[in-house]
Amino acid sequence: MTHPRPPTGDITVVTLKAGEFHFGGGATRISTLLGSCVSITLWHPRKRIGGMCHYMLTERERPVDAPLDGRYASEAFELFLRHVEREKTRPAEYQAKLFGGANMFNQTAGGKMDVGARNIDFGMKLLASRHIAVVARHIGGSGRRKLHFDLWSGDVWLAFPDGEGAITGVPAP
Amino acid sequence: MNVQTVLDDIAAQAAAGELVFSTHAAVALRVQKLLDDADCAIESLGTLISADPLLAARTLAVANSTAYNPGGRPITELKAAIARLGFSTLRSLTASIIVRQLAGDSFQTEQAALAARLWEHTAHVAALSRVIARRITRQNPEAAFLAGILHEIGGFYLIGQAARHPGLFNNDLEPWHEDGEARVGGAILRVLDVPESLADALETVWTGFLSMPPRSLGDTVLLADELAPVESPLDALTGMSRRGMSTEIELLVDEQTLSAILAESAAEVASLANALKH
Repeated sequence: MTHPRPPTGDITVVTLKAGEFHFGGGATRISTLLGSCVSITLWHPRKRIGGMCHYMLTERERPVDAPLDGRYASEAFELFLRHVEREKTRPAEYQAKLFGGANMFNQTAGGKMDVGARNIDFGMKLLASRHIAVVARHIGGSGRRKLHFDLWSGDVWLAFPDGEGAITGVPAP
Repeated sequence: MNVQTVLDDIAAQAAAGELVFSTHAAVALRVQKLLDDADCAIESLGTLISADPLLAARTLAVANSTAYNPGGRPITELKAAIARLGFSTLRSLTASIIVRQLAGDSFQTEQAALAARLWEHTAHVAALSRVIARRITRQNPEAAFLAGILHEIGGFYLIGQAARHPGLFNNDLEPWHEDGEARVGGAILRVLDVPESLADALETVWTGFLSMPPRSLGDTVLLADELAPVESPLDALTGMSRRGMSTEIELLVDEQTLSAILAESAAEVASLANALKH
């Protein structure tokens, strides 16, 4: 079995649940399990820092003074932008990868209820609005995805652990 | 039926080396042995290959495919076909005969249909693996071709064993994808004495994660497996089907996108996949 290659020393594993967000660097691996949700990874190749979000829906009317909520794509992206600025970097210096957006309920693809497709489309538009290059996408389909994102290398490891019709899933190993 | 028990039984049988080979595969195995000999002469290879019409036809078909014959000069003679293909490709073709026949050749309609579909999938994955290795992962294309041919070896064996376990395919075969495929496939690879590097790559395919960007030999086959236009019929039986929305995979590789590379190579992949079906 191929194991994601760890750097020397201990790895810190951060497991994201739906709506959560993490940004950092060093020997950190961010893991998540996706269905119709979408994860965007951003990575800065020179500084070897980056982050991952895991959003469920595109956007909402955000109440005044409400904190940013990573369950919505627009707000998760805003969280990204804040970290990008804090690190004194620019959005276009990052590489993006986009994952998830599966059709979990077997609706006709492209149908009105196709949450996964809408999530993908919205994520692509957000990235394009800041001129962030999407270097890899693994999207759509009808199964769950396990994802590991290694911040020290920018590599993403992906598995389709169970497929169409699956209702239960376990967190990434 | 306890699927796990059946799969344990099948894995144990494979590990015990109880593989029954047909006449076609017997010739293919003799060719493999001959290829191990550094002084092996093309003449003796040609004579041996011509003893099996299936292997002979496939050798000629692949030698004349766009992948190996971009200039379009047809060959009708086995010796010339062997010279054009080279020994490593010939090794893959003999492996293709061995893999395919593991499903047996006198079985019921259901198994026959499954095996035919699985072979169609295998042919596409092998052809795609060769292109992905050359253009994307920078692996040895011939090693990737062979890995593609072998990647469903456990599946063919499973189909061949289904007659001993009536109704097996009416069950949820989830345990097959959990660890069954890796156990059965790994056992057969050991019996066939497949090189370690290749066995490691296939273990990645059966149990591992696809690295994005893809780099290793295992990644090469995993990516080909996901991109193949014909999916494995076993995926549907194990709850892994792609049914529903199609999966979109896009990578940026050396300034080129995966879809552009695949579009450029489409004719080559189609010709090779088609030649393998003969």
